[in-house]
Amino acid sequence: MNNARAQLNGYQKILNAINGTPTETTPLALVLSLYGSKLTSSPPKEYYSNPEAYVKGQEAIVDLYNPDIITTPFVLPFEGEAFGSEIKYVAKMTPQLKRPVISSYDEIKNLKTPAYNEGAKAYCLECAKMLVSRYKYKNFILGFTLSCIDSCAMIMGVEGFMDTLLFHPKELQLLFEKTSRHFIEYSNALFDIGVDAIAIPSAFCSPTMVTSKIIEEVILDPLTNALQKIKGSVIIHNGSATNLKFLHYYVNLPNVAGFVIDNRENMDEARQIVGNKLLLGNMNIATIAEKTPEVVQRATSRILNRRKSDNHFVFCNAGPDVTYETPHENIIAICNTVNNFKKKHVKHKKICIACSIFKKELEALKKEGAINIPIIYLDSMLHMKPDKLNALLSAEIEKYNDYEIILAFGDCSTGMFDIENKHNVKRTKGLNCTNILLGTSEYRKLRKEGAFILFNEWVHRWKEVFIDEFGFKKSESATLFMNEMHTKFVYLDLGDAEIPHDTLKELSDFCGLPYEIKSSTSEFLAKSIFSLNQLFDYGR
Amino acid sequence: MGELEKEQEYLLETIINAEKKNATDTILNWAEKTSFKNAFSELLEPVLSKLGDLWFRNELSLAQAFLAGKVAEDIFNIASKSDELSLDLANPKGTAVIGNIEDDFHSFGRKLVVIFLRLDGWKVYDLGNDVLPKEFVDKAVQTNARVIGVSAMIYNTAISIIGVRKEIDKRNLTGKIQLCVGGAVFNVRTNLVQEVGADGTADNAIKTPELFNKLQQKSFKYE
Repeated sequence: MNNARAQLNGYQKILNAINGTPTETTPLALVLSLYGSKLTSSPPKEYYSNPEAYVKGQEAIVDLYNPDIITTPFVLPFEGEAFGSEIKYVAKMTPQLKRPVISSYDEIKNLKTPAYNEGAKAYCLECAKMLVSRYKYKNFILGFTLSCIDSCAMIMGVEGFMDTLLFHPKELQLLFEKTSRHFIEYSNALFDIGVDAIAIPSAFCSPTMVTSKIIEEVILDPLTNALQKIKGSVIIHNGSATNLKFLHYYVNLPNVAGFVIDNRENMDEARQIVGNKLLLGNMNIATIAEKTPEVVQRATSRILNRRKSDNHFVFCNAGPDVTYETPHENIIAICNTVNNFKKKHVKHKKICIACSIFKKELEALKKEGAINIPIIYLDSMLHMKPDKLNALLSAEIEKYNDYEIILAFGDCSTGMFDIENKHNVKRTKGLNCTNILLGTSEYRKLRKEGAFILFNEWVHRWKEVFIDEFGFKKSESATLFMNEMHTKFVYLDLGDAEIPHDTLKELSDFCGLPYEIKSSTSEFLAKSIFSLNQLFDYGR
Repeated sequence: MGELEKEQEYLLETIINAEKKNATDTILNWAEKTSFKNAFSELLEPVLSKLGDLWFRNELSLAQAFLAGKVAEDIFNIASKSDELSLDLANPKGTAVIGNIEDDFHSFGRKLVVIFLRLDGWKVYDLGNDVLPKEFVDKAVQTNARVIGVSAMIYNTAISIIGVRKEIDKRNLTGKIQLCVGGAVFNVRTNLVQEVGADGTADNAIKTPELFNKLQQKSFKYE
């Protein structure tokens, strides 16, 4: 099956869908969190308490179906368990909420907000960690959690929460404060681990459950406040409910990147409402479970045909996990249909010409499979001689005239604008290497703090930079100059080399500036190169 | 528009707008003017019927249905203490046994069903969550109930309702005890009602009394 898939990996395909860059085949995501338990014959009690069992199940999913998105455990009652609700492990199903920890509004004041990393949440975080270590940059890793709104039903039961929602505004506010804290901390822990986005099943934000008045007066504020404190992208999942009528409330909420749409609703209408956000859906889970592979294949084709020009679309089942009784052949039917439904694809020869400052990161990304084109490097020290850089770069571009060329450079030479205007050249976004690596917002923050940013390569070559190129023959002149412009050195630790503490100390002493270590990743660089690669393939 | 129609319209509006006190007061005022029986049959039941239709068409949220249930429950609690209705409660129109099937803990819909059945004059034994097939039938036999209502939200629990069907049949009670099923999964997977051997299902909690009345009539034919 894997051979039939497009050249892009799952991570790259979902990134494309987020950016609206066309892909050879439609990205595929099925919620197969539970199904791994079936494939590995791991009873749910074991599967949903032992991270190794869960990850083994997801490995089986990847081996058999290779969906572009893989998920952390999708168990809504775990949100209640964190607060003290009782759950029950049941054969062939996800754990069920047996007894909510509280059932009445007057108990909310005594409800304690739990640590984000205890009990079942510790299990989920460990699953996320293991999935990240196996699949980061290969598959898009989605973490499931409930927002500060829907988790209330797992803490109080639907009846208790509904009663509080309708009749007890003060207690409701207190409840949301407690659930918000937990939601933010847990979600950010998932992002710290390295998941690519989180999905929040949001039935209580849908017209199936509440009215627009409740949304406007009660739900939007706490949800907005919580979402703006989340460190990454959020997908609003329909949670088995219809949500089209209320999508407009959520489109512009902070960090919301996309929506899962129910199979009963119209994706075209959803597209009109959400603009360029990601849309996932909208295969009926009952069809997958009950029908023959032929019917499943036809249903899949219908959805693909309707969305064939939608570059922000990901094929997905609406609602909860694909059920235990779903035949394996039906899932295969979906995968084959999606993978064989090809769009126009033109192959080009490509090459990346990069500043050597990125060498470690780009080679690491190449090794991980995140970049699959040849890369040639020009010495980063050319940064000090813009004219020479310009001449060398122009020569290289001439040499690869019949290639499509990705430039991994900042605005390092005056001729960069002319170079990148050539029809076969595209350049990474960013003023300089730091900007390209960190993204604009983090870069601006550091600049505002007066930071002089150092990469591993430059630290090792600091004498070349500061003494030979800048011309600071003595520490005094370097100190005077650097303190005039900067407040500190910030060394970017991208995790690909040992931190050169001794050399940093030497440089710091020479320039009279303190230094800090900042951990970062090469994610922005990877995304940037990847997007340019796809722009060549499919146009803007 | 007559006074009654105006009151019905106002009651519908108050429930849709989640104005519980206004809704309850409207019914109590009508009961004071006429009687509790009239307030139920002329005012509340037609409004509940409209709400049931709205719910069926996905035009009513669960929050509004919940509010309707709370209003109905409050009115029932007040009315049941009155002289007018105490005799009726001693002579219910039927007896039903209700519960969520083994391993199912989604009690919300079931609780609404209990409210609407009681309001309709049924004696209801609510067995709660996670009930074994045998327990349903034991209780029905013990209380002479003609209808067993089993609720489940997801497929893997719903499928266990077959056990209730088998238990009824095994004791030669087929037809005499009618099996009614409900829960979100039955609306999504329409074949499931037959698959588990049920005698009927309702579109939503508000419409349950109508179904139970029909099933009870059907059960009498097996005497």
